[in-house]
Amino acid sequence: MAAAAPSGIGRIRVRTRAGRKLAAAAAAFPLVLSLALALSACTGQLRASTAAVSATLPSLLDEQFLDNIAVFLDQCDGKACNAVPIVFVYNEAAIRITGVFTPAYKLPFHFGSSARKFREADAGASFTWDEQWILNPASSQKDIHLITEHLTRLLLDGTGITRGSGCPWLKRQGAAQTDAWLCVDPDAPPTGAVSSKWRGKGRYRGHDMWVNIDLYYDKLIDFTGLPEDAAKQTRNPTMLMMEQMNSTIR
Amino acid sequence: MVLDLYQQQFFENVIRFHDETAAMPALMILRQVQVRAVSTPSFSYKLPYDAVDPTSQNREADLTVQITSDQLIKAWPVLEAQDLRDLKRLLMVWSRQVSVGDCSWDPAPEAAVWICLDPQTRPGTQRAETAWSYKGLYQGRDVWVHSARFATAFQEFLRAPARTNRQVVPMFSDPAPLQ
Repeated sequence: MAAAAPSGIGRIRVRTRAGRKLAAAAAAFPLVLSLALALSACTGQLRASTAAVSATLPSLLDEQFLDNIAVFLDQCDGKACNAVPIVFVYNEAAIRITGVFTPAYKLPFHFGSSARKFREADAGASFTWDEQWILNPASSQKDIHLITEHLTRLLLDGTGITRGSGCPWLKRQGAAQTDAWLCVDPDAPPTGAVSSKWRGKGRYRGHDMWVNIDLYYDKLIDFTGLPEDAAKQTRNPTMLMMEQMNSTIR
Repeated sequence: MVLDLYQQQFFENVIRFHDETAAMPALMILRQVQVRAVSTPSFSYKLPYDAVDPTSQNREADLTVQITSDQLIKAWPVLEAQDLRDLKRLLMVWSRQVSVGDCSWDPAPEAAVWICLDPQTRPGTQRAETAWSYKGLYQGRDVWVHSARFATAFQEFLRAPARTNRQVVPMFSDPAPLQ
């Protein structure tokens, strides 16, 4: 192509155009790359963070349930429980990802020696993510009453909660309660085939808690659905207000 | 992305239920997704002057672009007791239809196993290859599913928290009967 050009000027022009195209491409490349990185990195992190927040929920609910049981255990005298439940409703999770990318393309020109030309491409980036739960305390009279009644019934009426030497795996075969779902402060941990059914949940207010995984999660679900007012308060304030008005009119 | 997030929650729940026999379902209903990208270009031309050596003059042309990508998700966890019971029932069933390592790649839609984790081999026949699809890596495990069975199960999974869904999008709730 250069040989076919009619003059030297033509030759230079061809080179200059090619050079400009190259320079433009070089300038655009970090920009396009940064934009693609910014969007893909944020989306990927957002997905990972949302999944991570979702995965924390069962353990948060677990802790709340077992902690309240531990509080009630210490306050029950066989007839009544003199304790107030402390329950929060996990109403909303907010996950925010912010990525700032600053690609720069510099063209310093040295006047003293015009032959010395430098190109510089810089890339700067910052990446922040923020995961939060918005909690609502179960503080209405109705919620507190419901939860207190439920926990008292679990502790006093049923045979589901056992303690010390009464834990199912410590009793001889046939004498064990089949509806036992919680064992508090067992004299010895479960062994053998029983250990696959019973799982240690850790210590709550000084009590060592073990749960029967076949039955425990149904109890946890029952407990989680109790605070109705606290759940409605954030999710649908109008609905709660209407219900309160109805009960006042009645 | 929204579908990806639900799919991720689906597989993480199935895998947890499979590993632990019984577990607590964990599902968040996406309520709000905000995606914002702002780019601010700036151009500068510099004329620095060297007082010691005035002959040394540099010119500099800089082009800088700042790209800010901001993404926000607000989600509501499923906490309604009945919704959790429904989810748990479904997950208990699906977790028993999982195979680990050894997968038969049965192409029949009524196959007993339709979720395959970490298979040692790939689908062998053309029919099996069409019926099964790779879903990605979840909790460090390669997940393959029978496509038709997965589609049905996934829809059931999304429908299960009916009460929470109604709270998130009230306009989709059942219409009130006419008086």
